[in-house]
Amino acid sequence: MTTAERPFSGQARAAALNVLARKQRSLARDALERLLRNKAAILGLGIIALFMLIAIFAPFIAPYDPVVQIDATGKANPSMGEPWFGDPKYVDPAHPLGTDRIGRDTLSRLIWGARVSMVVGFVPVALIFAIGVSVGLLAGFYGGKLDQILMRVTDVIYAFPDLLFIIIIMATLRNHWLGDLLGGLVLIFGAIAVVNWVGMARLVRGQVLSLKEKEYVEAARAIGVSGPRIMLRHLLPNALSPVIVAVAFGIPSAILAEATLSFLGVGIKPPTATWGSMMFEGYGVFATTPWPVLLPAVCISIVMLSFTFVGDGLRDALDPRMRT
Amino acid sequence: MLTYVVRRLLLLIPTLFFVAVVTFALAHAAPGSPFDKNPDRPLPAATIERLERLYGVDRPLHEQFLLYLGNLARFDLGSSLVRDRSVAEIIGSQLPVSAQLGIQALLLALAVALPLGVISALRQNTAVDHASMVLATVGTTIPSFVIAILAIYVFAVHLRLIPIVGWGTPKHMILPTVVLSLGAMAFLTRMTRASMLEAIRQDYVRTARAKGLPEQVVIVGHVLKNALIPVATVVGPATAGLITGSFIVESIFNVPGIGREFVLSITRRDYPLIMGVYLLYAFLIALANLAVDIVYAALDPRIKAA
Amino acid sequence: MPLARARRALALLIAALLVLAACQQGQPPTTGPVTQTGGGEPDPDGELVTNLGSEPDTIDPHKASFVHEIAVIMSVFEGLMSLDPQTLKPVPAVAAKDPEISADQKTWKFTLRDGVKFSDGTPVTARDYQRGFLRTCDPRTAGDYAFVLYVVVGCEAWNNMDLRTATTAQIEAGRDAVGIRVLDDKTIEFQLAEPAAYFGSIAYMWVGMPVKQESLDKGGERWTEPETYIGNGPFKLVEWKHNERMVFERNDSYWRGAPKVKRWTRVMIQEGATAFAAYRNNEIDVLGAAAEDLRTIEADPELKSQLSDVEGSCTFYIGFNAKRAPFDDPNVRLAFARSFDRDGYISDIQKMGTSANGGFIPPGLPGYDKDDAVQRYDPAAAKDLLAKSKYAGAPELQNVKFTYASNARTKTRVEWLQQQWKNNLGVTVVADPVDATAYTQLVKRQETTPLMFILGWCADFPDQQNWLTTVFHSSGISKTGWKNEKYDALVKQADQEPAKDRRDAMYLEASRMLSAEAPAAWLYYVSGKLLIKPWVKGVTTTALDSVLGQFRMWEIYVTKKG
Repeated sequence: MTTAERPFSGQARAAALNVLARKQRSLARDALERLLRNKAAILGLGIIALFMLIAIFAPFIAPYDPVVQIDATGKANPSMGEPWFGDPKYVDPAHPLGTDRIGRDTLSRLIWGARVSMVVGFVPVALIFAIGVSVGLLAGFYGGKLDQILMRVTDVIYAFPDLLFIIIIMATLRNHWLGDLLGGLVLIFGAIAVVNWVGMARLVRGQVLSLKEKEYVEAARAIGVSGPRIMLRHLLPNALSPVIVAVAFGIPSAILAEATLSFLGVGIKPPTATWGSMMFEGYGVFATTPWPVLLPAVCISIVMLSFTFVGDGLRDALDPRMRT
Repeated sequence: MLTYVVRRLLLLIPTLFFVAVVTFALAHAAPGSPFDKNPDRPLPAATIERLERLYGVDRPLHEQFLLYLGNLARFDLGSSLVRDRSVAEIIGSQLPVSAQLGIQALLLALAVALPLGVISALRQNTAVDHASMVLATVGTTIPSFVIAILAIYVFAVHLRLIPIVGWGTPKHMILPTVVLSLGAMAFLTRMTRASMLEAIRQDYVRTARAKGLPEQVVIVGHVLKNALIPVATVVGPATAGLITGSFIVESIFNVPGIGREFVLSITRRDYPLIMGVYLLYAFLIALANLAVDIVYAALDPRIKAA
Repeated sequence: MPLARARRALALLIAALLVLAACQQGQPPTTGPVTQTGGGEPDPDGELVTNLGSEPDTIDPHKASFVHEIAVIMSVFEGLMSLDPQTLKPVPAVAAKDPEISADQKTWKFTLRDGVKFSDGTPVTARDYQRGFLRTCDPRTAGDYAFVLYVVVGCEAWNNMDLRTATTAQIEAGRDAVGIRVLDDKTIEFQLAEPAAYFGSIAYMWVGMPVKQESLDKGGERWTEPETYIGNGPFKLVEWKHNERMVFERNDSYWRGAPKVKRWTRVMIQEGATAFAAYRNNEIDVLGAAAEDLRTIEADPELKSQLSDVEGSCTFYIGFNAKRAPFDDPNVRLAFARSFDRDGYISDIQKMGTSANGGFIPPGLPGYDKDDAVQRYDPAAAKDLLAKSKYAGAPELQNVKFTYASNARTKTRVEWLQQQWKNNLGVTVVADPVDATAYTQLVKRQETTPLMFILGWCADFPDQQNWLTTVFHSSGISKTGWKNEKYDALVKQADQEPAKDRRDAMYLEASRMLSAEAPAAWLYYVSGKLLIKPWVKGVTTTALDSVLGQFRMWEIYVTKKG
């Protein structure tokens, strides 16, 4: 190899950059093609999109206010009304999916609950993505002391049992002023993010470590691309595959975490309607009518299943070698 | 290998210390705790006196923390705020039940998941494979408490097959054990299958086959061993999952264990008990992870050599 | 009324609220009429299984305050007095006869009957009772119900000693200053600080249960475990599997003779739905039905036949801050009280409970005034009252803040009431939910009492004093800020009046006055429903039951195990 000061000429440099640029796009396009061929994943995406629409337009679609029993004329909604497919004696046509123990309309609560579930699914994962990716990139790329420290820290946090820790945080800080921000949402986002960012960081770091040695990175470094630019433009896009899959699986796990927390009584504060808290309240009347528990359960299961399909699909699409 | 083990052991200390710090911090931050200067629930004088003796409530923070660590070392987890008993006593009396439930569930999960995962991988894309994957997916997507509620409703109320009250006999234990194991079972099945598939594709398998070894020997002798090693690593998180699952299962099936106690203590804001149980679990999980890491290191020749 | 006592009373109130909120399905209070008398052959080895609810925090008689704890205590111990199930008036139990009361009403002498033994065969003496009463007053015990004994000389002072600064000598001196003396093995005498006609009722309570010195010495902090938990009641505790069950067996040394039921197991099922399932599975024999279960019960003829009504001993009310506009005008208060449909409230919102169509004291307790129509629903009359008041048409009648502890159920109740007042009075009430613990702080002090709030009160002992004086005397625990000197004088007089009839009449007058002045609007009386398996017989229930058939426990029997 020649050791001239500027080993690459302008033309060669342009060609090298072209190669780098092309490599990214073709991976993404390949992946997209593979994904679109996966029927289960398409179905999953469709369902997710549907729920997102429901969540966004909740105030317009929900027939009733999800937290009131008394309507404008002062009349009380029937309590434990059956959905149209339930026990005909207690079906109220005004409430197609029935009402809960307190008389709140189930359909409206499911719709508004979708909003909470979507938010609780996406926001913490976005936080995890942001923090985990940043930390992972920095640790992997710069290595050395920074890496050592960060790895020790993540080792320690990684050993924490995550859901248990989230439960503890919610249990103790729920009545704190922190737990009041945004009706408890901030606390739940924070709790989920704080515990789970380490997994993401380790994942990204691992990716970066293996990609760091690849030739195109060496090439980029050699032509003088700056560190951050390398990280952002070259490492990150190629490290994204497992990250995307992790995100796709992280969302349902966050949704399930919220449902579990609500079922244990330490979720988002009432009277906000969430699928988890609906099940929590419906549990008491399960012997009389199973629908208050089953309907939100079905919703959660469908959403989680959809994300699982999409996640599997993404994994297969992004790394065909991993196909099982 | 030895250095690896020592390193992992040493890592245990900062982890536990960190856990202690976190629980201490949370216990202080929680409104309504013994440290709350404006208690909304005025405690009787005797309790306050006891709390001060144990926690040194009026002393500066770092002194309190040292006192706290000292208590922990002596397994003194404090006294319940609502019960007439000490936290250590409560935990001690309920722990055997939860331990029994947890171990049974873990064994059941392994006993079903490992063979199922292996067979699914070997018979990939057949009916068996599809069926087990469907089951595994269902196990991870349907929340465990829904399964538990359905189970108790169907088996106890409708079919009258199992009793609701009590604990100890197989009839009492079977349903909670099965329901608790489902989550881990599903997860482990998927993992085992994926690991087996990965292992089968390895070059050395092709070599073995090319050498003319019978399939049986190839699978059992080479693939299985290597496939199961990564699975061993997830037993740690699976245990963690079992612990959190136990809260729900114990509450719904009325099992007199620590999990149910923990859930109750949360609603009642019995902070010493909440923190005591958390410390116990964190410690157990840390130990489990450590054990798994060591076993993994022992099994995986790549690390052994390091 | 002393502040310390008020504080304790309020602690009890809150505790009662929590208990009520938490265990509608647990051990509901029960009613005067007798349930399930005779029939069938008693099984001499009969076993009864009931649900205790949650694990008791303590079953120490001198510390306990919750219903399920008292349930255990009243099964294992017996006091000097008991209550007559029909009238709820105190009757002698371990005492041989009614107490001898001095002329000034301040000295009460009880004589124990012969042959009363602890379950281990040792005789019960007056000293055992003295020990029990003293233990309640003892500051080191820190029981929640000590305030009930403050009427005894020296008890309050001793109970309020600061343990951090008091010396052992001071504590001993405090104990010696308490007015409880043992005259001989069978005679115990109480010195009261003021005349208190209701002291006989207090003598039935768990605060006055006897305890053996040996039990305390041997068991120490853990004397409540079965080996040392020795009592003189109808049953003895033979097994306590924590968080799972408590098993009681008949006490053969019981002075009334061994109870008919041989074994009584109490399981601990928290969750109402699970308990209901267990009842249907024949795993438990008795269950307090929750409102949610009623539909299933009504649809099942077998279950329906096992249902019976039980009266409670609690009243929930809407409190007004009588010191702030517009509630400083009694017309406004009464207008609010008369403008919501109590029957509709029960049928649409509360589902389980009895309409508060009477005074403050609920049915089943002495002093219940069913003819008290002062606060009855009458929108026309209410409108008139409002028009007559000084705030008619004034802005103070708009945006009246109604504060409550935030939870879904209460929110619904408040909203319903808001609508009623809007429709019937034209006033706008604004809902103000606050965190539950913040709420309990607010209602404890006059300065912070909200404009409108909801609270409940449950009987500590069956006497009007516990309601009319304890709660609504101007120095009582209620913080409405309402003060009426005539009322104060009347109830204080009644407290000390020895003649029962005159006393009842005075309290009745006071109760009517209370309803008319309306510092609170009676919302509903707690009542419930009980499911009892047909093979459980001999049950006599009252409004004050903490445990099934509390005042005739020994008569319960089981005909067959199904």
